[in-house]
This record gives sequence, structure tokens and C-alpha cells, in this order.
Amino acid sequence: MQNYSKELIAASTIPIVLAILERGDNYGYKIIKEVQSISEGALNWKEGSLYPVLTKLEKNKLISSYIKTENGRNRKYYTLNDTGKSFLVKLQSEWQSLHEIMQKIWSPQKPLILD
Amino acid sequence: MEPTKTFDLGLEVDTYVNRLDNNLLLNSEESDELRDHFHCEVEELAELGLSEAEAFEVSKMRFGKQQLIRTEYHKAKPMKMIYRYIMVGLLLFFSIRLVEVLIGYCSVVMFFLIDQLNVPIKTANIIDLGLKVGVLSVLFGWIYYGLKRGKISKWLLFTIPFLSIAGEMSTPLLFSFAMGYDYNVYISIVQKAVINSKIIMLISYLLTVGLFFVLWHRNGKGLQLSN
Repeated sequence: MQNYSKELIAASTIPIVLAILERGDNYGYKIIKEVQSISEGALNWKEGSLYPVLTKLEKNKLISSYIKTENGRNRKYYTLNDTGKSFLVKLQSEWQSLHEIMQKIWSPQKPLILD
Repeated sequence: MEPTKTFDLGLEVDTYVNRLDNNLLLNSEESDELRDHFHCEVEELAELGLSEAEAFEVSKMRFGKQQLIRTEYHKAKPMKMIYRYIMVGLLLFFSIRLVEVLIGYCSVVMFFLIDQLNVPIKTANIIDLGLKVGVLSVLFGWIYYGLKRGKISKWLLFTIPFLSIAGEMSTPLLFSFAMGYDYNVYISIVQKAVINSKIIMLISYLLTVGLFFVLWHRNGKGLQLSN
């Protein structure tokens, strides 16, 4: 199984969380499980590190939250708001562009011909 | 045969979350969110056949190191930390002022007993000391309760300063009401009251500062300001 560097995981957390929330309202534990399921276990976050990220996103008004009582417990659900949606589009474009650049860099190149 | 110790998941989760929050970082929603996380994980692992205790151990490992999570929360809300330190500092300051005021009130009661009710001086001194010890006990009872609950309500931040300021303003009036006597006649009473106050105040200061220090730094359970 692929092991990603800490830096890459940290950089990708926000776009991943926003993308999961774009699919619908969700809560911390479920977000973690969905990421694990989509990545087939390859993205194995330290689970506790998600919550400060959610706090930061909410503070920056990219997501909002509401409390729902389920199984006798208060569960905090998060919603992606309009600012968050726009920010996600921007992040997707950045990652896509970076990915294309990497592909070009890594693809076999003809040697440079200097006149 | 030794009695078997039952595993109380709710208590274990509370202890773990309070320990994580010993820097007063989390609000009640965030604490509940972390509690919910552990309960969800334990339920899922229990379905796979693990006992609650085993499942909780696994979920703690998956959760990550507490120091790391705390650092991430610090980054997420730096102002919150400063705000909370200021709030607890104010609470400590005004709590000590309030104890001073209440001790002053005890002295007023002593003078009132001697002056208005003709209670013997020695008896009044003992009552004075008893009242001051009572004030001290109530204060530490309250701190102990806060410590056990792991929470101190924010309304105390308004009530304690108000009571301490109002108390300080009213103390001279109460003294003049209680003491209708020449100070020189009652100099011995005053001296004893002052000695009582000094002893109690010294103990109060030391214990209050000590207890807040313990609250601040203890690992087992943190102090949290609830909303």
C-alpha cells in the first residue's frame, strides 16, 4: 500500500474534506471513514488531526455546522457553504494544474537540441 | 477473589477528552464532537468482536498523539488560547479579591456580635475564625467541584468580579454600622480579628494559587470554560 509523506497528506487534507462535504452534510467520524473507503485505505490519517482542520475551515467560514442528536449523543454536522464551494473549485483547479505540470515534467522527453 | 473492575466507556472517553483539553482549547461542541468520535469508533470495533476496553485502546491509537492534536488546535485558533488565559487569569484575580471581601464581612459579623448582641469577645473571636475557615472551605469546595466536573461556567466571570467589587464598596459601610465604639477600647478585638484574617488570607492565597496551578497543569483532567 502506498505511504504518503506527512507533508503531502497535510496539503491535501483541506481539498479532500471540502470535496467530501460537497457530496453532502457529514460529521467528523464519517468523513474519516469515507476518505478511508474512497482511498481504499491508502490515505490513513491520524484521525484526531481532522478535527482541528474542521475547526479551522469553520472559522474561515468555508463550512458551517449544526448539532443533531443521534443515539443520545450530540453530533456535529458540517455543511459546505458557497464560499467553501468557490474555494474548492479554486483548489481543484490548482491541484489539476499542478498535476499536469508534474506529468509533463515526469514524462520522457526528447533531449534538447541546441543549435 | 479480587473484584473485577468494570470498564466505563463514558468515563474513559470523558477523561481522555478532558486530558486532551487541558489547555482550555475546546468549547463544549468540540468536546462533544470528540466524544462522539470515540463512541462511533468503539461501536464499530465492538461489532467486529472487540471488547469496549480493547476497542477504546485501538481508537486512541488511531486518533493520534494528544500533543499533536493540541498543536493543531492551537494553530486553528490562536486567539482563543490568549482569550482563555485572560479569562482564567481574571477569574483567579477576582476570586482572591472576593475571598478578601468575605473575610472582611466575617470581621463585620464579629463586631456586630460583640456590639449588638453582647457576645463575649473570646466567643466572638472563635466565631470569627470559624466563619473565615467556612469561607475558605466554600471556596475550595467550589474549586474542587470545578476540578471534578472539568468545567467552570462563564457566568462566574461576570458574577465573581461583580460580587468582589460590590463587596469591597460595601465593606466600609458595614464596618461603620457594626462598630459604634471607640477603636481604642476594642483594639485587642481588632488585633485578634486582623491576626485571624492574616492567617486565613495567607492560606487562601497559597491554596488558591496552588490549586489553580494544579488545575492548569495536571494531566489527568483539565479545566474547561463552558459556554
